[in-house]
Amino acid sequence: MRKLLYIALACMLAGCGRVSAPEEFTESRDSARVYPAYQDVVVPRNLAPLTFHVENKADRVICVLSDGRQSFAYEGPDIEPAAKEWRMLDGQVSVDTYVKNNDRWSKLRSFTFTISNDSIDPYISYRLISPSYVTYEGLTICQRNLETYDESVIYSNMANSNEKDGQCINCHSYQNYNPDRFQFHVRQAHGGTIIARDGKIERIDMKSDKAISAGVYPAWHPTANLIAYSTNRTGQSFHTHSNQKVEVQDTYSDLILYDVDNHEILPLESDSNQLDCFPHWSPDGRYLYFCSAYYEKKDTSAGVTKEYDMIMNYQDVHYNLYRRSFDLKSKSFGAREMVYDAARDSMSATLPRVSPDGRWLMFTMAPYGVFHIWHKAADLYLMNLESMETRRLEEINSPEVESYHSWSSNNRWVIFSSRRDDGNFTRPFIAHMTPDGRFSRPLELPSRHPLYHRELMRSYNIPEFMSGPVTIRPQDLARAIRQDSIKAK
Amino acid sequence: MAPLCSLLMGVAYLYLRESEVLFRMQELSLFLPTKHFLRTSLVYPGGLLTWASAFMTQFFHHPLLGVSLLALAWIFILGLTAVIFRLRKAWLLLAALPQMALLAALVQTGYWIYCTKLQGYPWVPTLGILFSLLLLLPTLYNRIRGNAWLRLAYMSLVALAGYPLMGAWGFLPVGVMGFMRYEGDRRITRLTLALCAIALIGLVPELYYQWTYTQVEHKQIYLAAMPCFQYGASDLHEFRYAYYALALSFVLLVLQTWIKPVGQSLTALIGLVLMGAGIAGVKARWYSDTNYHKEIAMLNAIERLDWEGALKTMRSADMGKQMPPTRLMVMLKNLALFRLGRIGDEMFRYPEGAEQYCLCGRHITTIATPQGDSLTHQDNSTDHIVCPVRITQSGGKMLYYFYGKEQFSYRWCMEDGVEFGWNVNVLKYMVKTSLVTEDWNVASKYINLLKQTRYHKAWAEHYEQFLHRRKLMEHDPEFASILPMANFPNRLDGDMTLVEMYLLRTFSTGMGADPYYQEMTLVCSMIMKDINLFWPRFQRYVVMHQNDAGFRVPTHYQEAAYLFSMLEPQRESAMWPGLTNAQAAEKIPFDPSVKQRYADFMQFNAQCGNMSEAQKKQAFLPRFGDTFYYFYFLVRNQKTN
Repeated sequence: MRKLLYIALACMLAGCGRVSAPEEFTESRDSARVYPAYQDVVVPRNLAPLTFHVENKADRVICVLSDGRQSFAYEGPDIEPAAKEWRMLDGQVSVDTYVKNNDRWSKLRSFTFTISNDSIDPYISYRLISPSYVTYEGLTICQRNLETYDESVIYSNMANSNEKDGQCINCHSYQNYNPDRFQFHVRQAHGGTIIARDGKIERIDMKSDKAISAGVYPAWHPTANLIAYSTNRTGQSFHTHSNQKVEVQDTYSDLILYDVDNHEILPLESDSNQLDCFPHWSPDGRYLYFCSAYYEKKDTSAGVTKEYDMIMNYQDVHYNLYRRSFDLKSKSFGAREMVYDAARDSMSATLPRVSPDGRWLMFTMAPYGVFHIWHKAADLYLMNLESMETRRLEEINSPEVESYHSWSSNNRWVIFSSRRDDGNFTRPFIAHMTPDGRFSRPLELPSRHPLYHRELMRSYNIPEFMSGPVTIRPQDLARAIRQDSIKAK
Repeated sequence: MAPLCSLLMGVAYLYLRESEVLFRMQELSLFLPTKHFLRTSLVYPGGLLTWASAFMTQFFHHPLLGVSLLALAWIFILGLTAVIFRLRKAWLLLAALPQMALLAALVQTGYWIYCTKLQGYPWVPTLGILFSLLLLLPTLYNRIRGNAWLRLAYMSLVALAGYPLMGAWGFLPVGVMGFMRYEGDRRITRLTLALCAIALIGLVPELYYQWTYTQVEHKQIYLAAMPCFQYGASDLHEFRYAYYALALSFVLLVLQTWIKPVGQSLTALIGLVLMGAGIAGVKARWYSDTNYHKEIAMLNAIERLDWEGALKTMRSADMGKQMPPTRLMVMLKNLALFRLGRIGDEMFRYPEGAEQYCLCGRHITTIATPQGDSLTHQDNSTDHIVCPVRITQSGGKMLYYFYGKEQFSYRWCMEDGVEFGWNVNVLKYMVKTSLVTEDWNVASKYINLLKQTRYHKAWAEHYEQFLHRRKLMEHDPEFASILPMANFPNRLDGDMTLVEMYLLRTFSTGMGADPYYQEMTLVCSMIMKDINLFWPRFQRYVVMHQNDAGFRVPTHYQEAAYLFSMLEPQRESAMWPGLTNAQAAEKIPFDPSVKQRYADFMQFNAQCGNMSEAQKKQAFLPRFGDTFYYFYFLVRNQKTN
């Protein structure tokens, strides 16, 4: 009996011991198939460990991560490296995958990834939203610590929603990566724009005769308390056959400037045929970039609305990139200057984003329209603002949608939305950029459990870097949203 | 014994009467055995309860198994109630009251099953009560029972642990411990415990709201894990009666611990009165709407591809006599006939109608005419309810899928999944529509989710074989007739939530090279009663099929063609240019019976000259109710939702 107990104890201890690579195995010609695909990616040194799932069929799986000096083995198929060990890895890391079938081990072809010396901003925020069209139950604006996997809610629409009064939330935005200065919109119940500044929260009613709508797509001036917004009259209609599913169009859209301190709206020019959208400040605050399309109603017959006309001709709406100089003292703008003429090539460019060092302009481009998250042909492009040369970013695009993008504060990383996993659900991808504007293969935001994104029925919307976490509690935001709003002048 | 017998009888009736509905309930639910699914549930107070309820709901896939488990749970509750509340002899009848309320809560819902947002709704009240009673079990131990301080400590523990795990159901054990009479307690002790119970119930949700839960409206914290009977402008207060009865039954159970023993016969009388009231309450709340049950049976049959089964349900004896069918039932009938290739001969041989969905046993409108259009609507409720359930929620996704409108089916799956929570049914349609549109990767995502379920793994594996294999789909009996229907040029459109109108509009104005598609354009032009749309589609139908072996034009198509020729006799024929319709009608080989019935119809119409339209409807129905002539002239204003 005692002998049996010893044997059992020994077995238990053996079971608790470290996993190690098998000593006997055969080399296989098969490659390791892992999800997310982390082969050849470049990883920020402070990012949480890359977890992945080995998809090769096997009775047992062991992966060994090695940087040439240290190696760590993990039992699969879900490989979840310990944070402490992960931090010890550096430079190029090779991943050797061993699979056991029919009591025989074989080693699949190894792959590598590189841990970069460049770090990344420690936080991102995003909205989690199902890719629905008119319903919006359970929306959350979340923040994620990139150095761990910790995710927390900044604000959930359910905090002020009930069956009679629903609430949509959107367009979170920060002033220069600062988590203490942010804004987002609330629609329907307790609607308004929520602006938080250094612990003070205001709900602004921005509906005004001066603009066609309340503020929509925001851009907070990098230094001043000014937020540029587009104002949009937006509609959506559905593709009867195409897997792009929905077409979101603006029939009218302009730009306004909102003075946060004085609660004042300052309209920019307004032309019903000129559709301005997606404002973005240059890092020095001297230029406002935006996209704009010129669309004149084609069918002038009586009874044909502009909305209907645009639905019938949705493929003929092409946005170009523009900018206007801005004088902070007088809060006045210069004339619009063309930055990129996409319409010339029958394309449509949106979402201009200048890198913090002012050297690069990244934007999204697709054959038509403004809402590229639903356009499978949407890709990311990069313009060198010194040479004005533009190229399609072959190294980070995919056959599926690439859309929203955000630069890290050190210029070395971009995080962008892509639907490459399944064509429908947006996931954030991170790519490293060298000083000459070349990107590494992008990596999908790692999750604590590698299959999390496959089960998640929500999309990541507007991934934005932050220098730290938002510290205002969701309950306090909920309470502030229930308070009376301030009417913008 | 009496409570047990009544419980078992109730459960047996539940199985016999509601099997199809219970099956549907599990289709409208989802349980995944994953960490993520659990974590998602735990975001809300009461998350463990709803998670466990979703787990139990999946057993209704086999209604007998699901009902048996429910019966076991209720028997367990019965026993626990008797033990915890120390029920003796005649008071034992009281132990059956909670189960009656639970039964009423389950069978009252009707069309609300499409609106409820509470995960695992069918099992939540049962598990809420069961867990509450289990939490009360330790109070049976003498050490806790006899020591008020220990009881207070335990009550606090239950309040703190119960709220996150069970939501508002966690108030029940706290309330019982606070107000139940325990032997030996002094008055001040009893008062203290009662006040503490009230304070705990008041404070614990607030504490959790302030420090833990970020996705709950403050006003809702005391109703966590309770079903919400509000949706949009609709507030169905009646649905709460079963829950009030449940609460009242526990109030009575607590109260009886304070009552001094009375005579056996008086106790028995009180018990019997309460049981009688309970049975009457269950009967009153049982949702017995025929259309609801038939409609669900038809949906279930069609999802099994049992087209004849759907038609059999539609034909069932009382259908159309007591109550006209709903629009969805009519549409499902047409779909089944279309898939069986019999729509041209049989579509008007079934009762027509547009009965509105009713809620809480109250009809928005009651239609007395056998053929069921909206001529004699009577509002039999003082409180006019707007039923929030639309066809998009009940059967629209299915109709769009089978008619090849895959993007619209997918769209409503997505909308409903977001609004009411993901469920097996929407995931299945998302798989199937994504396969038809060759959106393989997302189809694979949903297949992988369904493969993790207990009862839908085989289903998911069946459809998994079609991934990236279009040829295989073309030879599959289900997909083979859908793929040609889904072959049309893309454009931007919208259905404004009106499924029937969208289908009628798009098909009746469409033309297709595929015989399936083309026949549907003909059918829809007839339902739209549009002569101009009919003729080109009829002509094309004849051209497409004229060389088929044994071809004959189905009766209803002949009726339409003959009727339209007679209505516009001098108009140039679409079939024979150069001839008038009247001349062409002589050349078309109509069945003699088609001509004869038209002549009879017109003759009868002349005889009924002074009748109102409503009277004519009644009079014509027995002789001509199965003709297109009747449909064209006397079926109007079919309100669709």
